[in-house]
Amino acid sequence: MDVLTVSHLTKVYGKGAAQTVALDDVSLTIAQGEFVAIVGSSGSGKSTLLHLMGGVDRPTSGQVLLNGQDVYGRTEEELAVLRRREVGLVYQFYNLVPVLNVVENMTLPVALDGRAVNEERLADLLDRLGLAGRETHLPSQLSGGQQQRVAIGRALMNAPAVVLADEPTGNLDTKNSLEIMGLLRESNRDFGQTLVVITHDEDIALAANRIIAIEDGRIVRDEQVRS
Amino acid sequence: MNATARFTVRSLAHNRARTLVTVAGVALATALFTAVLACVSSLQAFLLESEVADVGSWTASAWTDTLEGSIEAAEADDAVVDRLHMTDVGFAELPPDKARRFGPYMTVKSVDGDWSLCSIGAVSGRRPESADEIMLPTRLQGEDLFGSSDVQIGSELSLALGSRELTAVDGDAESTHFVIAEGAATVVREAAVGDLLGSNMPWYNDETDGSGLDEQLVDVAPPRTYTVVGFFAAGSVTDGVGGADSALTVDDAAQGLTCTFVKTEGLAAAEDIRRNVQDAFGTTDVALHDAYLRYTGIASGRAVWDTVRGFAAVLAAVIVIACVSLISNAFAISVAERTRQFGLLASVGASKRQLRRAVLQEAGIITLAGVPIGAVVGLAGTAVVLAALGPALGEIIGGAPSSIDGVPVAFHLVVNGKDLLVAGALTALAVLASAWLPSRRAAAVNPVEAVRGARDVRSTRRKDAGPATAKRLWKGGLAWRVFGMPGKLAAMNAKRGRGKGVAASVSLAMAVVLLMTAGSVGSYLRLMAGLTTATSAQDVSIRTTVEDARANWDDLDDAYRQMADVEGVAGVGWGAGVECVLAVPRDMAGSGLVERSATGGSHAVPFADPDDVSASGTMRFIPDEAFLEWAATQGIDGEACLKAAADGRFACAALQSGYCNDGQSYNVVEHFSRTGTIDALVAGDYPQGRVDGFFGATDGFRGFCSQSGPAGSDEDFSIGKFSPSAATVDVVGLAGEEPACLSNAYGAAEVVLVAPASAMAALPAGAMATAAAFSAGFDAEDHEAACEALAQTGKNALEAASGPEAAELLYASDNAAAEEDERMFATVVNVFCLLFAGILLLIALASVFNTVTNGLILRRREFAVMRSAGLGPKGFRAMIVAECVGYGLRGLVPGVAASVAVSYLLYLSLSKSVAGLAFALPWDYLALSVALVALIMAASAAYGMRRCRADSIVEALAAD
Repeated sequence: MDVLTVSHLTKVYGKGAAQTVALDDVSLTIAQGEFVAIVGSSGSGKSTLLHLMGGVDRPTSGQVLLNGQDVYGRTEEELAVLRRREVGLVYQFYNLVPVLNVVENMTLPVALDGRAVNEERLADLLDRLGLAGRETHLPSQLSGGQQQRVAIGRALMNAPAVVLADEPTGNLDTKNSLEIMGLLRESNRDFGQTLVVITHDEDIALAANRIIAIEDGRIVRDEQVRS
Repeated sequence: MNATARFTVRSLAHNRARTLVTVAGVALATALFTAVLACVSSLQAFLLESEVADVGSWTASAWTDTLEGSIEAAEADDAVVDRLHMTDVGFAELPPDKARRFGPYMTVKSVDGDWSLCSIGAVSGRRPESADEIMLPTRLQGEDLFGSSDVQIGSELSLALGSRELTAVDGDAESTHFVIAEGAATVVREAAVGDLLGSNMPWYNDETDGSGLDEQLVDVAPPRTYTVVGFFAAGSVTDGVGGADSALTVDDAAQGLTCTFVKTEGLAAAEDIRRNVQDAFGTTDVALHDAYLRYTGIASGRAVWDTVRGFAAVLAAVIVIACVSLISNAFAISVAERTRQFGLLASVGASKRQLRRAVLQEAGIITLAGVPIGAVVGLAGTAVVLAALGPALGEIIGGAPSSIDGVPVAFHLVVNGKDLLVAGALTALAVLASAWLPSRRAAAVNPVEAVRGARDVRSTRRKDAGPATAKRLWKGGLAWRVFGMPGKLAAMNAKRGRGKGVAASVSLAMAVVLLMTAGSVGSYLRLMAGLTTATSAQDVSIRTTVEDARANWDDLDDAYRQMADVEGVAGVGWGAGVECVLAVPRDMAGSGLVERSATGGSHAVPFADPDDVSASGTMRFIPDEAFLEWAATQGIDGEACLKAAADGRFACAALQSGYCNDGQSYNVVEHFSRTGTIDALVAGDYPQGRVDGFFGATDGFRGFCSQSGPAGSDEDFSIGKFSPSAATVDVVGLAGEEPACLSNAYGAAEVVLVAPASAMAALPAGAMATAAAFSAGFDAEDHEAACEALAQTGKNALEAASGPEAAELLYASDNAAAEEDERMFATVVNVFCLLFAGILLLIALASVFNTVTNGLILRRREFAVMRSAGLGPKGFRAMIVAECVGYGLRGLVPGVAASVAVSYLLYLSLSKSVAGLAFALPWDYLALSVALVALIMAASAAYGMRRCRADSIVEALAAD
């Protein structure tokens, strides 16, 4: 079953002479449980694609269907609800809320949704992420690797339809990078979590089921590396 | 330019908007300092100029026995740079009807020296130049005096001048002394029976002062003709004897008792001047020109002057706090924004000192730019305000405008280099203080953290490290209950975020303090204005003295009705009051009465219990109907008084307290602590006749008769021959306010009883037979015309009702005009307060806006993260609103608390000159503060939100 359907997606920044086409008529589908790596050079449009898939930006034209629902046919308020329930975003620079502690950062989307936190899942995630005992630490009291694990925890907490990660290891050393990727793969394997990861790292790309290469806003390669 | 300076200038140029706002803030602070100081200096200069115009620029005066001696003394004293001698020529007796108004004599003095030293100039005509010419005080113009009807310039007066000789009424008194408390020194002037009295001795009249001494005019020369050449405005330097003014001539033959006014130079202290003049003139009878010395800074101030200084100090403190709050905010934001830059600088080797210096240099540059602009703005603003309000202000402070040689003294701006220096120094100090903490913070930046971009977040080493379940972490708290999840987020930011929220709240608190302080200053100043300026319940009041009010009551009532019938006039009411002496049981007497009696004001009342507290007072009667109406407003049973009167008893109401000015401060004095029965001495007889009034002599209250008994009778007014008539008075109620028709402009100082007219019947025979004070009040649209018309009608009607004296002594006062003056003062006060508060508010609000919006903008990325995690627009709005409500409350609560403190300080400063004043909060300004806080927070939230929401999440996340 397709979780994510992208059709004829175009994003243009600026106007007139300063116009830049970041994404040029891109179409693709991602199936439930897939682990997709998106690769491409700097400025190729891969981050734009990721943001458009996650509902944090609006396309110039085209459509994104998440779980069969039209993402951009929604109001801002509905889009926010979609983001907190169906999308888990992980960024290169962690992007945690500095005034919230580990548990609060992780449960932010659930709390925003006004739902009760699944304590069991939280405990399990804390355990898997190696954050047990650091529940009340603030981001400033954590190392980079730990902060990224909190970000992943936040993305996974709601069991979203898709986790979108933008160079999640780009800011980490090798040891931490391996750990983070291990965690993401584990979520994909154990929970069947659909995963889209932007990366420059060949090893990471090769760990995926499918690799999509983007250049100048177009998909230049889309290959299944393993089933 | 070294590296840090270059860095400083660059960063100032880069953040142009904030730099300009900060420079503007510094300039405004300097402007306010300058304005406050310049106002104080201008006030001082105005008071000095007025004093010089009214009284002159002499510094001391000395009495010597001969003119020659005083000229020699003045010439021998190097410190004396200018002088004026005033020598007694003689005294001409005035006929009794004139004596009552102008004093017992016309005192003639000869002037020698610089007339302008005492600011004696001709209002009309010219100064006298020979012994045949005379200049009179203006109040004598048009009078019928010394053989000349309608005295004008060119009139000839025939004066028979004599000398005053002290005489004894009985054998007991042989000498007298007259004591003048003169600062640290006490001057005693003595005279024995048979001595001649100079113009420096008071008028002796045993009938009125009970001293046992009298005086007579001796060596009266044959009448001499003087030609009136001019009229002058009388002042304290031209005082004559017994409350009269002197007439001035130039007579070389006058060589006797002389008062010399001198201007001294080179003496820095008041006491040095006194000692110098005492030594030079060989006399201790020296007076200093205190007001002049005070305004020139030689003598120290008086209570009112301390109040002015206290006000200025409080205002300066408020400005400093406002200035520090704004500038430290600006620097805190500047440093916070550049944390990364400072880290970078530190990482390439900038020392802590260099980083600190960079911030302090920024402060220095801003000060250098702001102070001159502020000084100019402050002076210009003060000049404009004083130009607009100066004439009104001058009139309020100095009364009728003074003038020097026809040029009126104006309240204008005085530019004083010292003021500018102080304003600049205060500003620099405030800026330095503001920049100090931020500079420390810049120096303390950890290069690694700064470059990594870790935000300032308080570490939370909580003690309750128990099981951290999400439920426990998210739920609970007021913010959560009111605003839900977004509210909780806001509360967490307030709790854990650092710096910005606090700064905004401090600025808000400042704004509240400023506004409420302005409110307090305004209300206290208005209160002071209300105390020192006359207010009356009626537009026009008519006062005079009437004979035997009890017998003439109906005629007086008729006279009042005639006046009330004057066109365009509505009667408010009328009444008549007589003097009495009261003996109040000690436990019924109010604290003020007890205190007055303890400090020597109490004299035994002949018939009363010796333990009673005695006081002189007045019984005021008003028509029964008016009494009932008034009693109802005061919560007093008026019917009881009427019923008592019908039964032949005297019952009345009393004013609970009185108002008095003891020369230093205004006091509210409690007269009665409860209702009860008191004794009143209402009349009395001497063998030679009925008394007209009472006075406290050393052996007890005695009566006096102004009209002597039959010729040749034994005029013995000793207490033993006095037979008092007393009344038992039931005080059935204590009132807070007098009946409107009786209310005195300044409030009553003496003890006041208010009774219905019918109660007069219950007083013993003889009471009310003496002169009574008649007063009637009227309202009128055209109060000026009404005042004139009422005076005329009143004269005719009252002459018919009570005799010619009632018409002659009639005084019509235009209270409405006085009130207009007061309103003008209130306007002036309000304009000042509003200007001051307005500018300060601008500073504070700019600071709040700056802080809140900057705080929001600095957190763009954080907001983007929240939005990407699913915070919708509604939730975002709720969170920002919750944050702003939080800032608002955290500013409002301490702000109000601090305002109460500042208001109390002002109250303390004011109570130095106004005692018994109740502490009051400006509630209207409190409400305004709350509204303003809400408004500014709403504006900041709206602007900040607009700026943040316009961001695309993607851009905000990418931004650093």
